[in-house]
Parts: sequence; C-alpha cells; structure tokens
Amino acid sequence: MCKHFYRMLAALTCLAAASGVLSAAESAPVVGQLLTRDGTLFARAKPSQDWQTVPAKGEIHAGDLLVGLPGAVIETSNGAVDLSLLTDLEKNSPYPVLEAAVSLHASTDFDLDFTLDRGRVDVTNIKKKGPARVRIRFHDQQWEAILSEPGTRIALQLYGRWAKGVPFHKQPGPKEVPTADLVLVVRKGQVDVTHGSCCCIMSAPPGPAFLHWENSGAAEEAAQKLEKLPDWVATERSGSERAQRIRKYVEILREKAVASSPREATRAMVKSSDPNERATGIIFMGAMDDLEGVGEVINGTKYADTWDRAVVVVRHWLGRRPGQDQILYQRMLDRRGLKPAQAASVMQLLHSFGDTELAQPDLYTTLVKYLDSDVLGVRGLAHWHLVRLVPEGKTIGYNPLDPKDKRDKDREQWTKLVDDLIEKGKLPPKQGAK
Amino acid sequence: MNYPFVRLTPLFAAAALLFASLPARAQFAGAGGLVAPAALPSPIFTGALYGAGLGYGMGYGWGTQWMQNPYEGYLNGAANITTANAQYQQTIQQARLTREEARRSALETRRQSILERQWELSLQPDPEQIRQQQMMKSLQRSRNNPPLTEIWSATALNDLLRAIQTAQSRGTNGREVPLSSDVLRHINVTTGTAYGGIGLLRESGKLTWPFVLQQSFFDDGRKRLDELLPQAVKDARSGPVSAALLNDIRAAQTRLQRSLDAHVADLTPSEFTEASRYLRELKDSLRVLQQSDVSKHFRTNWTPQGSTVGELVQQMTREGLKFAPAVSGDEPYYTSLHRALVDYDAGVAQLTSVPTTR
Repeated sequence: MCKHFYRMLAALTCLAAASGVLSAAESAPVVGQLLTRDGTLFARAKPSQDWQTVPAKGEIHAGDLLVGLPGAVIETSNGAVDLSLLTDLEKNSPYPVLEAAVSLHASTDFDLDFTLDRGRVDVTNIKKKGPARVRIRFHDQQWEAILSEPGTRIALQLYGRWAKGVPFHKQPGPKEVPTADLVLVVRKGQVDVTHGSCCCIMSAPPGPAFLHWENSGAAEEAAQKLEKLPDWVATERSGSERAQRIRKYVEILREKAVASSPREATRAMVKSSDPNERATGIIFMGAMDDLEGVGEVINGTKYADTWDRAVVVVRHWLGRRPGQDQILYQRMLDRRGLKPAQAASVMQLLHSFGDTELAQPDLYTTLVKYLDSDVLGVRGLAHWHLVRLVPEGKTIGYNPLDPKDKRDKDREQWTKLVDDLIEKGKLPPKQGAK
Repeated sequence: MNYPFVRLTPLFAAAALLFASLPARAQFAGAGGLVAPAALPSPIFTGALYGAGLGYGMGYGWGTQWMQNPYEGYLNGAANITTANAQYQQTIQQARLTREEARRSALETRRQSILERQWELSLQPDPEQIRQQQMMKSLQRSRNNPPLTEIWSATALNDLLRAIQTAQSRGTNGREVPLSSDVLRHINVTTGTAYGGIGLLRESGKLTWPFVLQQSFFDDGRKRLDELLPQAVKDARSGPVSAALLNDIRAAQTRLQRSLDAHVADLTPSEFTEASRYLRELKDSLRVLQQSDVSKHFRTNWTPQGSTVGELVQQMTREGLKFAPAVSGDEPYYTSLHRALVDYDAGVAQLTSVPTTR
C-alpha cells in the first residue's frame, strides 16, 4: 500500500514537472522567426534538452539558446530588426570565432533584446521608417543601440579565451577568468550606443565606427574612427575558395540535421572520411556543448587532423566564460574515470604556458616526458604544444593515436631533438622585450 | 689546348708539297692502281661524253674556267696547299692571340675580384666592431625593460655590470643607489668556471624544497640529501669535499630524479616542470662542490657584498665575479637588483653626457 502510494506520488511529481516544462516552453513568448531555410538555426530551450532544428518561418521563443549556421537570419516578431548569425569565413576577423550563438528576450521597450553568447552577428534596422532600438547583452553588460534609420546595420563580434600563461585552477579566484572582447562596427547609417554611463554617437566609415570592450577593463568611451569598413565585416560577400568550402559543408550539415537531428548530424560527420566534413562536425559539436561527442572524438578518432581540431574546439569552449574549466574537469573525473592528477594535467595542457615557463628548458623536457603518458589526452596535448613550441620536430611522425611501440620510437627522436636544442642554446627560444 | 690535328698539320703540308711535285698522272696512281686520265673533261659535257665513249680528251682547249689540264691541276693543287699552309699559320697565330686574350681577361677578372673584395671589406666592420655593436645592442635591451627571463638568467644584469665596470674604470661613479642585504643574499655570483654559483646551497646546504617535492614518494631521496648537503657545505668551507661524500650526494640526487620520472603521471605539467627545474638547479649547485676551490665560494669574498650598487660592482670587479642565474625563489630579488643597476647606470650616463664646467 505504502509502495503504491509512493509510486503514485512519484508519477504525479513527474507529471507535474513535465507539465511545468511544457507550460514553460509554451509560455515562452515568440520573439521572432527564422527567415532562412530549414535547419539553418539550432535551438535548445534548456541545457538538459536536445538541440532541435528550427524550420523556415519557424517561431523563435524567448530564452532559447540559438546556434546559427553561418548566414542564418532571424527577424523580430514586430518586423523591425534582422539578426544575422555569421562566422569568420575568410579567417581575417580580429578574433578567431567559430560559431555564433544568441538568445532573444521578450521586451516591450526594445525592438530587439538579445544576449550575444558568442561569435559574430549583424543587426539591421528593417523598419520602413524610423529608428530601431536594440538591447545587446553579453557577459555582465547591457548596451543599448539606436539604429537611426531603415538600413542601418551594425556588426558585433564577441570572443573569449584564456590568456597566455593563465594556468588551470581547480578553484579559481575571482580574477582568474578568460578574457572576453567585444567589437562593434557600424556598417551603415548612424547608431547611438549607450553603455554604462557613456554614450557614443557612431556612424559608418568614414566616421567613428569602431568600439571595443574587454572584460579586463572598461569599454572605450569614444568610438574610433574608421576610414573604411574592415574586410572581415563584409563576410556575406566572401567569395574565396575557403568561404565557398565552408558554405558547402555547412549546407551538408544543415541537410543532415534536418533529416535527423543536429546532434546525430554532427556525430555522423565527425566519422566521415572527408576531412572538411569532420571539421564542420567537430566545430558544431563544440558549439552545441556536446562534450560527450567531443570526448569520443578525442579518444576514438583515427584522424590526426580531427584530433587537432577537437583540441581547438575544446579550447574555444573553455574560453567562452568562467566556470567551463571546472565543468570539463569534473566530467573527466566522473565520466572518463581519470585520476585528479591526470584530469588536472589535461586541463593544464588545454591552457597555455606563460613566458616564464616557456623560458625554462625543463618545460620542454617535461612535455617530451608526457608523450609517454597512458592517457591519450595528456600525450596528445603534450604533442600539440611541442610541435608549436619546437617546430623543428614537425618532421617527427609522432602520433598520439599510434600503438605504443611506434610512439616510443618517435618519442626517442623528440627526446634527442629537445636535448640537442637545449644543449645548443636554441631552446628555450629568446623572447622579445616587454 | 692540345689538338693533335694542329700539331700534325705541318707534316701533312710537307707531304702535300712533295705530292704536288709529282706528275699529275702519277698523282692519281694511288694504292688502288688507278691510272689518271689524260685530260680532265669539262663537267658540262661529262655525262654526254661518257655516254658516247669518246674519252676525256674531247673537251680539251675550250679555255673556260671549267677546263683543266693536268698541269693546271698540279699548279692549282700546289697553290691550294700554299694557301692552306698560310691559313694554317694564320689560324695558329689567331689561336695564340685568342689564348693570350683569354689569359689577359682572366687576369683582369681576378684583379676585379680582388678589388671587389677590398671594397666589400672596406664596408664591413671587423669582428671586433661587430662584437662591440652586439654588446651595445644587448646593453640597450637590458636597460629598457628586458623580458623578465633575461633578468632571471642574469643576462641583463651582466650587461649592466659590464657597462658600470667600464664607467668605474674611467673614474665615473653614478649616484649612490642603496641595496638591501636581503636582496644581495638571494643573488648568485660566479667566477665563470661553473654554470652557476652555490645557488641552492647558500643557506649552509639547507634546502627549501618546493611543495611538489615534499610529497611522500620523494621522501627517500629528499631526506638523504637533507642529511648530506649540510655536511658537504661544512666540509667545503674548509677545503675540497671528499669523493665519498660527493658520490653519496650524487646517488641521492639520482634517486630523487628517478622518483620524479616514475611519478610523472601523478603530477601536472606545472608540478613536474617545477620539480625538474629544482633538481636541475640543485645539480648545477652541486657542481660547485666538485671544484678544488670550493671553499672560496662560501667565503665573503665570493658572496655579493656592499650597501650600494657602486660598492657591489667594485667588489665584483675586484674578485672577477659576474652574476649567475637565479634559482627558484630568487626571481623577485633579481628584478629588484636589475632596477637598482638600471638606476645607477642611468646616473652614470647622465654624468658622462653633461660636460663638466670648471
């Protein structure tokens, strides 16, 4: 009797919780619609939920986290503002952004109220007449921008990363956070930007078109003058081979995501024999916080290029905001069963070394020693650093995925090379003056 | 130039002259036993006359350039030989001239090459000039916020030391820049015979182990070194350290290094690097213990002394010392000393740049 009672209570609790979720999702107001094709936008209402593709003309709910494929365009419900999600197609933007993610909020005061989670977006006033009011949230900031007339357009780029030499800490202090930078460029028209107590009157080049904010200091109080638009801004006009290639593989991802789901699509792509498909798959795996998937790639891929790419994606993921480090560290302990020292080593190697460490010959010998680690993450990351710090070793065919006997032979070559360079005084390399 | 053809030509010419002096018919009586024709036919009619079987004589006496009798052929041949001979002589002379010309040209080229080299050398500074320039460049770098690593490796300190020593040797002393004894206690010096100074052994051989090496798996080697090193330093103050003691120290140090290598998986890269660095510095410091003049390293003469930068430099000049790299924990003191040396050096530069008025 008692058992039945508890079962019923549990069932009722679940039902209540489920209905709560449903009502929360349903009650989230619609704040926009997707203007581009099916599947150019992935949405997730909660971190615990799976990502879904948004159909063309599909509704965008307030609070959903949205990851856009390059070129995805959202229109606000009142038809006042377009929000384009873009990327760095030409590898020429100030920060090496990989993907764009935003979430929209319901607002009566603003035509568009959104949080820029990361990456590159454009905001355009598409009203028939009059200014458009936009609230831009990122990190602990809330900026307001008034796009003065129809056609006025701004470009935004937000990027975070761990600065050089900041080590991993299991319990970081308040100042041990990744750096974050935001760049705002007026592409067309006039824009009034208010942040904190500052108000910048900005206009497209030639004019005061550039504003920069970083979390290590305050935002610039006045916009910088630009004579012309930087090349990276006009990303939609990129026609290079690289840009076309990215568009092609993003389209493949879109088709696969529509046919199955974003998660299945990326997981299938990372196993492809095509390196571009693998690269696209791993980037969007990271974009959608699929750490499990990235972990499987790191531990199971047979492709060195994908392994390398996965490292870059994880480093991007860690740099997004404070706290990412601890999430990954804990997952390695809980799900991968690594010892604390091993997990801490992986985390430390996912960060970078500072000038003081780089000036010690012991760092290089340490990295060579870690090539022998049983943990793939440790030896792979040690190698990842070594080939960058000691380019002379690029010709050594060490592959962390190789069997141990082959790795041992290559490690010996590394040992010899590093010892030799230290002996000759070529390692550590001479550093530039402060 | 060794052409057999050229060398044999006079012989051919002589044979040709002898041959030309024979009757024309005899000339044609070659090895094959052919008999020369009585008259050479005109080439114009050769075909027809041959066909008619009228012999060679029919064309004789027509007096055209095509007509030749045996004597004419003989004279013509002799003239040809003479011409050939003359041409030969001319060719030989020409060849000699060409050879001479080539020799002259080679000499000229060589001369130009020497001149070019002299010109290059006139533009290039000599090695001493290059060395001086490099030292000046290095000094400028050391004066103007060099990377911290160059301060800690003592490169920047030694650059400034040299500059101040030069100024002092000319009688120029900068303003007094005070130095704290606490700073000097953490500065390592060397005579240049060893890589570093006594470094980690400076506190009577009592080591300050980094946290990572205080873990239990390093107990064995660490504790052994804690026993041996104070004894070694005590011995070193009065003379060379015994070989047996040095061997024990080396064995303990090797044991510690092996423990560290064996526990690489239990340490993060930073911890491992820190531990490796400490053991490397310890190894460098131990080298001093092996030197025959080890006792001098522990005497006041070879430890940095002075209450000002000027006094410190004077002492180092007197003892022939230079700065040795910082060991773990010394870095802030090195940075502080660098600042003091830069201040002193700036004062010296000011004095040398302002003309004295009497």
